[in-house]
Amino acid sequence: MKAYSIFSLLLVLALFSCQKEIDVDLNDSNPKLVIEANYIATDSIVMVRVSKTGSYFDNYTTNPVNDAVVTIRENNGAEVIVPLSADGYYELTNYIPTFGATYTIKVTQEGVDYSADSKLMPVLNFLPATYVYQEESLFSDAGYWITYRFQDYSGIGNCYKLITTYGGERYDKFGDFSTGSDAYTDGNLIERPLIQAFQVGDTILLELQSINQRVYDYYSQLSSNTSSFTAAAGNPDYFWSNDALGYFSAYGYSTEEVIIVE
Amino acid sequence: MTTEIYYKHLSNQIDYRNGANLFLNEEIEGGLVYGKGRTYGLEVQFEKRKGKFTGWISYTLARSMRQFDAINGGKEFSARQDRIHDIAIVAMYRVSKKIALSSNFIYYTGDAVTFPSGKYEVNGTIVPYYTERNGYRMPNYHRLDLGMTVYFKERPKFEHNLNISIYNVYARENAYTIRFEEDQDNPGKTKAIQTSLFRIVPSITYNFNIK
Repeated sequence: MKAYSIFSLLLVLALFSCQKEIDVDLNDSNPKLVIEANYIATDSIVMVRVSKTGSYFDNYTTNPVNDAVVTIRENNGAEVIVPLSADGYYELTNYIPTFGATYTIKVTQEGVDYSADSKLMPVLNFLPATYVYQEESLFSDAGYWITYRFQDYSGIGNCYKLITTYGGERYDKFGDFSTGSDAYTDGNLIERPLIQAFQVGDTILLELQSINQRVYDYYSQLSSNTSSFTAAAGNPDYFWSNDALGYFSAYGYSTEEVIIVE
Repeated sequence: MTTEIYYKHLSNQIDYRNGANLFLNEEIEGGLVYGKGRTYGLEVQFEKRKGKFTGWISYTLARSMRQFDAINGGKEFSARQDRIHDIAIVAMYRVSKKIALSSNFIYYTGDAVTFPSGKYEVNGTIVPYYTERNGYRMPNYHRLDLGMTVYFKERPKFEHNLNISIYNVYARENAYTIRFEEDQDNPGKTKAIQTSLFRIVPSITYNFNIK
């Protein structure tokens, strides 16, 4: 019995691992510029948010940047100032789009220019959505399942981002919206289901943003790079010159309202 | 005493693309990128083979670097196994015909590792920001092992001994992994958790040899 106890003790000691909280000195003393820029062509609005990265360990607080000079230009046209509208937010209204044009946003901050291009793709228009009732199964709730539909244009690079609004909430955060590309469905009728069951009386607003290939790739990389299953964490490819974080998406959108009736 | 200096160029090196996903991925080759590398260093060893007191001291100063167009913007970075300093001191002392003592001390620079350097918000979600691949270091590793061997009376066709040893005598908590998780007591804050294995491991070994 004594020998057994000693053996158990040694086994526990050998297999024992311990965990403790430690201090790790991360290089967060040089915050990076983050530029989240959208040109919402359908509404003729340019919205740019400029901030800086925060400490990895602390509560995240936005670090808005208010001293940047932000401009936008169409192809090689004249630069138009995007003025500061709120803390860290720059906004320009009535900026009329030309679909098919490439837009360039330049952000100058502390003497450094950061610029990014984004091509404004033609708007993908919804075709009438369909929905069908499905009984509860092992993998899904009982309810009405919506399939949204649209016709892709010929030529690869017409990507999309789908945002839904229902129950008084707009699901537009990263992780809530879905994206797709036409790499394997070029020119086809696209039919995709929403991964959500709805009930009679529900009203769902669908917004289909026509994003370009580069923006689609950015979201794909952001998704895989922040996945807990990734073997090599890292940033998405830099969208901005001089390695600012963030993206620039010039896009138009179409909407469709779906009301579930019996 | 022996000394070696080396330099080696490495072609066709393989590493993971940023964001490579291995989980249930049947097309894992899509997550790989190809580049080159180089290793170079200096190895020095002093050894004493004669007398009651024997042993050696070895020191390696080395670098192992990689360069991939698709990683770190093409800039050279430390390989995962890049250990700059590696020291080993082994000493054995024959107290008598029956008893021998031994000790083993190891020290090396922590492996290169990728940690986030900050976080930022994009599309309403907080995501980590990384500076470079393998830009940080695990804590340095070191430990001391001690042992004693008792030799029993040797017979014409049989010899045996008993070894008592202690691995990691001063119970150094060498880091096996470091992970980051949200502080449950302080939501929104992140803390670093180190996992260590084998703090101190005593062992007894009986050896015999039939001639």
